[in-house]
Amino acid sequence: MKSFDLLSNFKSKLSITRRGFLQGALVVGASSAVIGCAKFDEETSGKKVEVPIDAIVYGSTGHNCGARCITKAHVSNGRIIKFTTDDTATYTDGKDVSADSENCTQSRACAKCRGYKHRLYHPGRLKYALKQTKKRGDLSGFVRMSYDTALKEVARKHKAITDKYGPESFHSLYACGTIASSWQGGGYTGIWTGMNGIGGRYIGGQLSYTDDYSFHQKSFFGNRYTGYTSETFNAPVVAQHVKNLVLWGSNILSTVNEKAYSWIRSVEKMKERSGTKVYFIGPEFVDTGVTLADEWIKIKPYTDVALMMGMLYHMIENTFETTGEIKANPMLDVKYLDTMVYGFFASPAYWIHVGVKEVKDKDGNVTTAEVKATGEIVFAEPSLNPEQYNKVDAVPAGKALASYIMGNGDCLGGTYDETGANATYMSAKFISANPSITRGATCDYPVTAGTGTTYMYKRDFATPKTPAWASAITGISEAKIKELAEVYAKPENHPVASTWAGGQTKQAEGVITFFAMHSMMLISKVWGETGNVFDRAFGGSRKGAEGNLPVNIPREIPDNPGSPVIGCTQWLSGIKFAFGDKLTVENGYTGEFVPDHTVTDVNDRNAYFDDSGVKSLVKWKRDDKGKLITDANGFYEWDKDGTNPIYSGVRFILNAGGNILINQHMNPNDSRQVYESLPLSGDPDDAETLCLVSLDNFLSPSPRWCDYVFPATTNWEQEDILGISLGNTIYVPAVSTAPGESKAPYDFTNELLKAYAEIDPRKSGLATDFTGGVADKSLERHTKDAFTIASSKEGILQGKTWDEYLKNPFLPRVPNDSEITKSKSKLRIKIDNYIDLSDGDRIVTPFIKVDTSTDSSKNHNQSVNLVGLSNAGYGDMGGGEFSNPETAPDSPARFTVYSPMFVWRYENRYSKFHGYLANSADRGMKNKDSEGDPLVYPIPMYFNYEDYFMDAYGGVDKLPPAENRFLLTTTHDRYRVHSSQAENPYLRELTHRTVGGDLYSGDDWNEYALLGAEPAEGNKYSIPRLNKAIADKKLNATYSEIWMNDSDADKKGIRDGDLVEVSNVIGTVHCVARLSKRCVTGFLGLHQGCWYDPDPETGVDVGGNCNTLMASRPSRVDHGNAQQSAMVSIKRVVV
Amino acid sequence: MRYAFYFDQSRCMSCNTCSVACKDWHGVNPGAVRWRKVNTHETDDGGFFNLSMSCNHCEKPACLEVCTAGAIYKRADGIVAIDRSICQKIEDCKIMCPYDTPQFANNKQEPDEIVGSFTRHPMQKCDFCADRIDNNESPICVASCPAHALDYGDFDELKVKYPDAEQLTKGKFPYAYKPETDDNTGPSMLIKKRKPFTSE
Repeated sequence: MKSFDLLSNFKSKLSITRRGFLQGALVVGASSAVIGCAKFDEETSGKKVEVPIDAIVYGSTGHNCGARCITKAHVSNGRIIKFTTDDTATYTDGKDVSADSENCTQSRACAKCRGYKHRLYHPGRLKYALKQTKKRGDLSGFVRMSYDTALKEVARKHKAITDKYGPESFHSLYACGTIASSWQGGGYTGIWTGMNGIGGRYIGGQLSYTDDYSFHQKSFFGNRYTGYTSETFNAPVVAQHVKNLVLWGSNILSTVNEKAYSWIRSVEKMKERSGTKVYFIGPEFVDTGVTLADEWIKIKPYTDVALMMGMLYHMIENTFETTGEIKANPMLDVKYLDTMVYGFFASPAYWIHVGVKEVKDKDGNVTTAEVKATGEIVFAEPSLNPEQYNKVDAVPAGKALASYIMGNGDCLGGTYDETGANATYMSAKFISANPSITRGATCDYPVTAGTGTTYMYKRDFATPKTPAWASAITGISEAKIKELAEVYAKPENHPVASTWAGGQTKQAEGVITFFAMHSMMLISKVWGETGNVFDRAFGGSRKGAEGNLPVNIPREIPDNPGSPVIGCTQWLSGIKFAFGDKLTVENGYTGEFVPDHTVTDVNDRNAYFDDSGVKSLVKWKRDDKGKLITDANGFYEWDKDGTNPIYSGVRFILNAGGNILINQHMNPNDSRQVYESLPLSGDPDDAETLCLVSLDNFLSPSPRWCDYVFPATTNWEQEDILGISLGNTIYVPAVSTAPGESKAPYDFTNELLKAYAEIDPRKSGLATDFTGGVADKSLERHTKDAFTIASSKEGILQGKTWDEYLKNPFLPRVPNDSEITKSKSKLRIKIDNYIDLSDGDRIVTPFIKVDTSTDSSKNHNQSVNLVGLSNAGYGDMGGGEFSNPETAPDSPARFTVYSPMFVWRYENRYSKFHGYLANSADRGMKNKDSEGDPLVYPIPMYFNYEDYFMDAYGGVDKLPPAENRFLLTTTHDRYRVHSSQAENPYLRELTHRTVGGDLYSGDDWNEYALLGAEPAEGNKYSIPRLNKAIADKKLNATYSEIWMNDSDADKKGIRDGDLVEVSNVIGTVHCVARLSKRCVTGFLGLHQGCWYDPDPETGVDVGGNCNTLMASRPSRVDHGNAQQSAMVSIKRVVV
Repeated sequence: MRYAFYFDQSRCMSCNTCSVACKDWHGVNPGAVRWRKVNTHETDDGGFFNLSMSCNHCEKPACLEVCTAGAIYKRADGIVAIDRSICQKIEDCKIMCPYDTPQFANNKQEPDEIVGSFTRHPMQKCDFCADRIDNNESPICVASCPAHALDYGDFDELKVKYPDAEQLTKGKFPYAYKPETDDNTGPSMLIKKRKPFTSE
């Protein structure tokens, strides 16, 4: 325990009841993890004794729960007795903390942090380093090893592999067990995980990844394809202005605890205004809906896009006559659409004047003078100053978004208006260029297989996407679809705030959902005005935090060598690329869990789903600064083994406090087969074997399948610096004694760098650099340095002592309770004015200009940036390395709902790495499905979920039988942080039940996630199954709940509390049925984060991990994780 | 003085922070016994109503009336308490309580003998955090609630503070009650009822 002096005005002894004393006394003497056994005698009669609580210490958590709240540990003798939370009564400006304000910043922790005691003192905590000696995953094969010996072997192995296969063969896996701490763990700037993890750079570089498992599809889509931008979303805007709040599956009250109260209070205030409404649209009525919604719109999972198309149909139908004439009171603003929304209607190719930006040389002399954009449109390539024009490609009549929506409907045959009330500068120009141009025609996308196509969505190209069509798909009534359409389309219902949910970003068609949502809001003009919002989580409005410590560890971290950046979910594909020749049926790799990719494909190194960066994983040539070298053809130069490239792939994985390796990635059955088929890491100097290393608190599924496992500390056992969401960044000392030899990531890294220096002289001194130029300098010393500076300067910490700071380091942010004036954005004002201007003035387009700022897409960026609409980059991040940027389509310089760029970027991603591929057709990414038609289209369209499952499961006949077919999603509940705390009995009992038991019947405390007896160093463990009680067939064994509609259950003969088997061709899990009207029919909810625990005989995952049911096939376009998409059967298991 | 709880049903998000904080503070081990329970009740007309409830510290506690061991008593401030050392585990209190409040642990959840007690697993339930109350602190559940959905205080003062709230009754909140039990104990529990909602 850290010994800091308790503060002068702080009671070192708390007065608590005798009961508390007995708990404390028990804890002090306890040798097992049995703590806090309640003793009840005389306490309520008020007799009191003194118990020595050494300190009450402020802290928080570093794992990826979406919030950083305040918990206060009551510590006695190196052990935490109990927790309390923030009870700050006044803000730094002296005002009282009041729950009346939606901006209230009292930072109250949720159940996860309140239950932490049983995580810290769990009997299954790892204490020593382990090395697998039999076969990966074999619970009888782990040998106890000294931490130092294991560390040295790991350093040697890493050196052997990366010396031969380059830094691209080392991957520090996405892991979020300590993601919130940049100083200890990961996150986006931390030591090991994340795109900029520094640990990998110290040891020679690493293969990085794009974004993360949570929001890959949203991040990928970004907002540059469409140009849609949300207005500010915060609690006062909701309280004061929003008329309709549409929660598209939102789960925020469960996933972002720190924002929960701002939501609750602001929606309360919103409802006090008349004429407001809160809708919740989703298949599972999650807590957010139960608490906030006025109405639950029950929708089948994965059908949001069909709903939006039905809504758009209603808007179009109420805008045009069947003849194509515009109706008297059109629902849509056709002038705006003609002018500003590219691709909703057909339009001809044209050139638009966008001017030239001023360019200066380094001395400040203007080398290119500015030419202001005029917005002039011409229909032939201008001969004069062509560089001042962007070419805008034609939108063919049958390919416009409106054509897809109307199918073969006839109301879009009308021509643009050249004159009259509905004419605009654009429409008049179009007519002048082509008098016969129409706004639309029958939808016309290719269907190579004709009527024989197996894809349902292609059969629907010509079908009008009417509310009736959408109703049949979504399960929502036509009337309700029309009502929702009018919420969006009618200005009197604005502002409309729409929220997306993390669930939508983990579905097979998540990117398309975002494309459709942007399109719908652009078309219906739900943008550009206070309260017109599309976002995930709003919070209160508050002033900046005071009292942050300027902690700075001076380091000279090496740059990462040039390297591709793969899609965050594609590392397993990278392992297959590296060891393709060894993953044979003879070696045990059957490929049976990935029906859409054969073993031969793996052996031939055909990257799965082509490819999100995987086929870029050959060894690259670099210059002396580590930069990649570009050849004369615009490709990066590759290293050769004779004439062949050297297949680096992914060969060494460090998993620092994560569970992606098995549990949180789709399809653990396949991952496991890969690891079990490949030889163990074995000889530390052998470059030819895979090496998997985990740091963890428990032998959760990922460390179980590793070669090396290191015991790690967690919150309260490691000093840390954590940014509290509603306040400042605080220093948290270590107050609880860590088990065995477990170390914090900071200390692991320090020791690893020292071990590395022993085998590689080039690495000497790096450990010292890592700790800030002073050997072994602790975080506490760095923090004290920062504190000394802060307390000597003007500010809230001025004059404080370190002990005073430790007593209460938390400073809540001050609410900003001022009123918000409703206003339009600059862009909205400009566009509204522009449309209303007379013809002559319209040529001047104040909103069209070209941004020459660079981003990852570099030299073609100038031609595609929709500036004035958005400066955010495209989200394909690592993929944006093109060998042929000059072929990219130009920007239409307006909102875009038909995006040739969306297709072009897909087809050309990573192409700069593909020079080693002799066949030019293999370069970039193939935009072809199994019938030769595109996977990626320029417009959002509804892709029937059956099509994804048909592909992912290996054919229509592999889908679950029609009479027992359920769609399953994997909502986050609040009792696990992804899979962190899956072992915590205080939380397990809220989500697990005994067979036949009621809610909260869970009773396998001290029987779950155990390690067995601790062997002497060098000896083998005998580790029981995770779910020991299930393995031992005990009656108190508990299973994860799966949520199911009661009428569905009735038909299947399933009762509440029954053991059920849920399966598809990918995997099988066992759960206990929880029957609830909170699920729509045909739907199952298996909340994510349970630990994978396959029965050794049957392969059934009795742990109830939802990912056991998730196919490997990634999501369309972004190749992210489609881990909220499964089609399954369910049946009762007779016990 | 009559201590009572206030519960805002329109704010509760069913997060169980109160129930876990309660177990942590009172050292109730993992297991079926939990002094405060949180549920989302589903009504036949398609409603969903959250309820966080522990002992309602009734004006006329049914448990107290039937406790022949004399283990249950009411403090002057209204808190209904139990002297666990003299409980004989007759369990009539559990039967008679309309809210199923009294609970009994098993050997696993309560592994240690309680020195001097009459029975191995005497009744236990919410004691309104008498230890904290006596220390001028709010009950741990109230202090923990991230949604600010719980409050406590004198029954009459709470009624003034929350004019929208109503006393817990079987008619308004049938799901709070065990079937076949009377509604005449005078629960010290005020609730602000959530508005019904529609779904289709």
